[in-house]
Amino acid sequence: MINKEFVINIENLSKSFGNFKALDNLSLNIRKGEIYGLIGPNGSGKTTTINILFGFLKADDGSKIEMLGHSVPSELSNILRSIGYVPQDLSLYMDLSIIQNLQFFGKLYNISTAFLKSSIQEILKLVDLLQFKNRVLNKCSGGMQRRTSLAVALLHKPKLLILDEPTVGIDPELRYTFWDYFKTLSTEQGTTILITTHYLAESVHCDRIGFINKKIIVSGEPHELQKQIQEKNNTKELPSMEDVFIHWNKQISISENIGGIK
Amino acid sequence: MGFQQIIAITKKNMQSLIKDRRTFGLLIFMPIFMMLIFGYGFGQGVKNIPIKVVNFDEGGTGIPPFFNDTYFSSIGIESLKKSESVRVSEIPIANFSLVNEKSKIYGGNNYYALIIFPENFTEDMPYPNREINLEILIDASEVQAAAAVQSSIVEMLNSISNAIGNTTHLKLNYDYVAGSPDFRPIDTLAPGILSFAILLFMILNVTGGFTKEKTTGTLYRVVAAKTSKADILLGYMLGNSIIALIQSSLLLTISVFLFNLHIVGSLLLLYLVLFIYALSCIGIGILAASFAKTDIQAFQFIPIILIPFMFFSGFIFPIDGFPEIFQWISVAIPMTYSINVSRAIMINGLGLGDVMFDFIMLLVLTALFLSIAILIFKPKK
Repeated sequence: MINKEFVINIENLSKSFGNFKALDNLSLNIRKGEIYGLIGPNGSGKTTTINILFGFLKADDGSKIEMLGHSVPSELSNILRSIGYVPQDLSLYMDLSIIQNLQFFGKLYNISTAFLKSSIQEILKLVDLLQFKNRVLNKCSGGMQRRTSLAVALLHKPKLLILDEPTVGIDPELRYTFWDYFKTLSTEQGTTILITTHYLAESVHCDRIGFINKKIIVSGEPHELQKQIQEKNNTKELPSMEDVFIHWNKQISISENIGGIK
Repeated sequence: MGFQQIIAITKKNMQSLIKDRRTFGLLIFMPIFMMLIFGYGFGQGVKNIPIKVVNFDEGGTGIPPFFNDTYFSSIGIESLKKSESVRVSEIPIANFSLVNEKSKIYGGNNYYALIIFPENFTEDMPYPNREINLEILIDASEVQAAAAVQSSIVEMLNSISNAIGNTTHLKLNYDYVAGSPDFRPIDTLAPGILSFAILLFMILNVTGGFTKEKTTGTLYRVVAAKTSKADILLGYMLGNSIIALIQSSLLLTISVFLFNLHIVGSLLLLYLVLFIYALSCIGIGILAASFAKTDIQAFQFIPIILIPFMFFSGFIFPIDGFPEIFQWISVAIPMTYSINVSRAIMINGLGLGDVMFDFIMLLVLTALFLSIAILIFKPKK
């Protein structure tokens, strides 16, 4: 049975590379219009999860994945054009201009010429690149390149936006701008957003977060998670997200006798 | 200058070389491979060019000091058989049809020359005033092969002269089935240069470009937009094959105006053949990219593909002198056929019907390489 309530519904997702288990019975679900932050250290399985969602990697047997009401990977082709993808690497043509990149990917998404034109205009305005649209990408600053990468993923007005560490290596100011974009998309257009990050502080921007270390250690609303630990430790001040993460990671280290975060 | 630094850099380079097994293998294999190719290609001159003889010689009536059983033609054929330049096979008179044989004299296909010994070869040999016509049908479009045939004929004349104790008065009637006696090496090479240039560009552009799509991640973004494998490959094929034809036009223009190359056959046909050939090169380029994880690995494929294509396709020298194993490689190389067909069109003005075998082989190999490329290419991580 396909669960219609969730935009993404993952049950018992495992992935092994030889003897190494990158994901171990990961389960998570994301509701429509939600900003869900998948938060964890490097090597915790964030990118592996996303690669499986897009069919770039094959999950182990027994894993069950549904996106936008379709089973993945068997029905992936039905929904790919409703998803926006911002990979961890820029994944853009550096020798083309900003607008040439947008036009190329727009055509791949089968967007009509007229609609593409207005869509590009609108998105360039959103990410503040309108005046630089003819600049070749390798002459652009890192921040502009990142914004172009986001713009490409938004061209076809996706219902679901999946972003793999979109804020890595960009300055704090632009990071805030990015989170503004995401909030706008979520509240104004009802876009569901799955975002991975290893910046724990960013989790406060999410509607819900899941701490990942090969599986979801704990998930919930950021504020709730903080309050939970506060009550547990009986402290006056609300603990930081880092404290919350360290707390849960310790629990799992103790119970499974594996190394926690470094 | 710091001794420690120099040693550190040297050691680091050695360590990464040993870690990268592919590069290490290439380091051992490539020089051996090249020495073999150059050794067989250049080291011993052109050898084993296939030719045929048909012998109508009816012998002599026995003028002393020669006896009834003396056949000068046999002395000639023996000499040809001993010659390293050519490989002789004899056609029995009963099976001989001039029209049929003439159609087979096209180097890439069958053989390069047919020598016809006339009935009076022995009978009239002792009489300098009697005319003996030795008919030689030859494909002179492959300059080196033609030279090898001619040198074997000179050897033959010498051994006959030795036998009769006098210079022969044979009249050599050359019939140029393909090419002409004033053919220059550039005339032979030009069709091959077209094919080689296309290969070079395709390997650099397709293998390099495709590997870049993988390493920068654009490939995955393209796939995430529901672009099918076939669409990606067709997109690569269309653009690059058009570039191949533009490139060919440039090369043809230069060779006609600067080197006075004569193009006898249909340009349209030539373009068709080069287009198909370019597709096969794109298939090979994508195939190479499928096995390359990094730019460096992609670069390593360039000599691995380029060298066999260059030497085993008959581009620079006829492959008949190579050991059999290398000749088998030449069978599987699309460039072998694209050169044969474009030589036939450009130099001899032949149509596809005359080189059907080569054309079909080109089609088959193109289809084969493209299918393998489509099968092997997987946009996965």
